[in-house]
Amino acid sequence: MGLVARNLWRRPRRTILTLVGLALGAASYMALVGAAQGFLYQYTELARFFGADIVVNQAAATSPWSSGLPRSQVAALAGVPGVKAVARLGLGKTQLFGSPYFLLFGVDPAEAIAQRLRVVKGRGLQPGASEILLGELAASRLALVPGAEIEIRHKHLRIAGIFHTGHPITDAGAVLDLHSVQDLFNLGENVNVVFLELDDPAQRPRVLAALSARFQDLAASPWESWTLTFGQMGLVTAFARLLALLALIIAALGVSNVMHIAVSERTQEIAILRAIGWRRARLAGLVVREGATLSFLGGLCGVPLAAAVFWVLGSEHLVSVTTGGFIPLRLPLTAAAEGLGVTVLAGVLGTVPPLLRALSVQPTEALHAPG
Amino acid sequence: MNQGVRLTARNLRKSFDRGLVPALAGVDLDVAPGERVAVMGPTGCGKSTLLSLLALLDDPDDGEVLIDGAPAADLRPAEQWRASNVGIVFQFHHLLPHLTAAENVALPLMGQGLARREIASRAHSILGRLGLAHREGALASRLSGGERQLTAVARALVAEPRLLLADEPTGSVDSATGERILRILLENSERSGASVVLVTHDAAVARAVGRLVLVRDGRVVGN
Repeated sequence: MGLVARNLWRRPRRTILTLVGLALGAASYMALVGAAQGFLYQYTELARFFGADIVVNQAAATSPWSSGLPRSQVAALAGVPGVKAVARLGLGKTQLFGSPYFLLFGVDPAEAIAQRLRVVKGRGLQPGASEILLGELAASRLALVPGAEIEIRHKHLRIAGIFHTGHPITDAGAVLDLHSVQDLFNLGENVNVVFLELDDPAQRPRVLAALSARFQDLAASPWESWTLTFGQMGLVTAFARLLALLALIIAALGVSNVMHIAVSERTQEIAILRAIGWRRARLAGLVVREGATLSFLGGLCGVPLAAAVFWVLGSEHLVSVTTGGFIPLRLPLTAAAEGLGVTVLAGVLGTVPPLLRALSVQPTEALHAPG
Repeated sequence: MNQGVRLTARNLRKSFDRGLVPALAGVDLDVAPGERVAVMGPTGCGKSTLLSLLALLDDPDDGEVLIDGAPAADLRPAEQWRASNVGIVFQFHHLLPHLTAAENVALPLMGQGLARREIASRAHSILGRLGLAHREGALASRLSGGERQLTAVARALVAEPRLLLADEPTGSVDSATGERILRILLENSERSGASVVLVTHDAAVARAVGRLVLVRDGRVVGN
């Protein structure tokens, strides 16, 4: 490793500039993948928070908002053996005080999921009242307190209380009575998603099989994977990964270019190493280790950069204004680890062309005068 | 003491640029174990080409090199054989400028299965023998011309080779350093029993080596 470090530090300015390029590529990858992962994670956590064993939505719906389940189906779901309780969720999104995605969750105050909201100021919702519960982040951003009124889609709603869930997606939005959401967003008597609580969670596979056999037009999934049923969500993550990969390919090309220049400059040195007995495999190891070390260090520098991106986007101001709670507040560790791994892989792949150049150097070049 | 290599060249032919530039036109040479041979001739006569073929750095167009009686073609990979049997001193020191003298000397020992401490100890020891212990931590780029060539000699000797090949080892240093380098190479051969092939165009150096082989226009013209 000493030789690798010496070779890299030989041209410190070039190495540092390459590291900066790699760090930016890695940070872009981590930020994009982290945001996409966080996007799905937020919805997954929503189902967990509301205590669902199984989540049911309309089959082939591209997003939770485009899913619709009529009242009759909800009633039928409640009658499936093994289902202990059914909780309905209506979804809406609107613009509010500059936020393009202010999420509204409609719940029935009598159902169990409404009880899971921890009201930190004011009180909970009363059935049928024109009231709203604001998430803690939204209330802070909008500087609103219980008792105040806000207007959503020309409807005046009194703020009954402020709640806290610990999940940005809900804390940056608001909870209303289910009927209010159905009225505001013309859902009729439909709901978007239904959460099922089972008598015995161990029976989940059996209940899932029964649901899929009986309700062909519905998609029933374990709470951990319910977001995967929506095509739009998959598209978002695939697009994010594609962009991330492009950023990284550019960074890898940088590594390849730098290593190529380094190898070209060191043709005679490589010839000397071969002349004094270094085998091709050992030379290859040296070049690959240089590329891997460079990309690992670049990836490592990318972690704080990506973390800073999330820190800025996760600030109280931006969570409610721009990101609407879709983006996680912190860089997900899995995204950081994946970003680091992919950066090293891209860096190592980037060393292949210069490696081939290095291996083609003939030891007889060592006999020439220094160039 | 190691047994020196018996080196035999049979009808070696080599040309460059698709035959347009002939370098060797049928060279025969025998070097007995422990023997010291000076190859002498004018510039461009094929001395360095001959050395590169004897070191298995390159393949001849025709003819063959025998190592201890066996065809060199059987010694593949050639790098491995060179690493444990051959020390090469180039006309120009060819040190890696960003490494210290000790690190340069240690290069041939890397990848030989030796512990890092053992490698450092051997590099330190050989540099000490050559009077460069006080400079072992200096970057090669900071060494004087003589120190660089002495370090290059140390690199060639560190693996205790059975065959020492030197291409104008005294050509790029002052006469005092040149004499010192020559003395070191010959004393080492005396002590270790290594065979030596030294290319030079300096008659005094050639005389000091012992047996003289004269090369002209790619052929041996005197032996």
